[in-house]
Amino acid sequence: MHGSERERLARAVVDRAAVLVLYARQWVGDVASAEDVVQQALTALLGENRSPNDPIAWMYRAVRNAAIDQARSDARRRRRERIVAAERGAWFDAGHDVAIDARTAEVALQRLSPEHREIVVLRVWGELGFTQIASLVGLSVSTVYGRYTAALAELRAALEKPCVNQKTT
Amino acid sequence: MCESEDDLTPADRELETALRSVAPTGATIDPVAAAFSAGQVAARTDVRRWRAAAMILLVVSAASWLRPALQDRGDGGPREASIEMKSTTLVVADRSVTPPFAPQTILMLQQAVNDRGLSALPASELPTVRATRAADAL
Repeated sequence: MHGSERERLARAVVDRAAVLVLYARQWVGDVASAEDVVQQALTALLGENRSPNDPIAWMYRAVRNAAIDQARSDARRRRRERIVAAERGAWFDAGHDVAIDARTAEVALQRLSPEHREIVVLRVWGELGFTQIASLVGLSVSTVYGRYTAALAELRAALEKPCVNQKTT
Repeated sequence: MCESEDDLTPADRELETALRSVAPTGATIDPVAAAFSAGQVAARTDVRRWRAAAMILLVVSAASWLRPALQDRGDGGPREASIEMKSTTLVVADRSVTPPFAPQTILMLQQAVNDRGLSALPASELPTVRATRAADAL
C-alpha cells in the first residue's frame, strides 16, 4: 500500500471515527475502550499490505472483532472491579438542530436487542447497505432487512412515548 | 421479498433521517499514531524476516563447513562397511549354463588320449617354417 493510499484510508476512517466508536460501544462500555478498539483497527488497516476492496466495511469488521474481544476481557475486569454502567458516558451529542432528543434516542436504542441495535447503528449512522451489513454480521440480506424494519418499528414505538420508560438522571 | 433500500416505507425513511440527525459523540482517533504503530509493526516483521534469512544462511554455511570435516574424520568407517558388504556377497555359479571346455584344454586332451590314444590329439596348426641359411642373412 502506498503512502498516499494510507493517508486516504486514514482520513476516511477519521471522518467516520465517531460512528465507529459508537459501533464499538455496542460491545465495550466506556468511550476510552471503544476509541482504543477503533485505533487498534485503524493500525491494523494501515498495516495491511494491500488496501481492502471495501475499506470501510473492513474497518467495521475489524472494529467488531476487536470490540467483541475487548468485551470479553472487560466482562472479566468488570466482575472484579464492579464498574457500573452509569460511568459510560453519552452515546450522542446533544445538538440543537435535531429531530430527536439525544438522550431519548440513546435510551430507545439501548432497549433494542443487541442484534437489532447493531444493524440499526450500521445502517443509520454507518450508512452501510443491507448487503454490506449482511456480509458483516454473517446473515442473509433478507434476515438483515427483516430485523432492521422490526427494529425501526420498535424505535418508533419507543420514540412516540419517550416519557413512559425514560429514566430521569 | 423486500430487501433493498428502495423497499423501505416513507415512515421508515423519515425515522431514519430523524435518527441520523442525532450525531454520535465525537471520538479522538489519532491517525498519525496509528500510522506510526503500523510502520513499527511492518518494520518488526521485516527485521524478523531478515533475522530468519540470516539464521538459515548461518545454519547452511555451518553445515557445509562441518560436513567435509566429518567425512574426512570418518573415512575408515564407510570403507570397512563396504568390505563387509562385499564379503557377504554370495556368488552362485550356475553349472547348467557353463559352456563346455574347449577341445584344446588339458583336461579334454587327457581324456581324449585316455580314450583313443595319441591319434586323438588334434593336428597342430603351427605356421610352416621356411629353412633359412646364414648366408642369406648376410
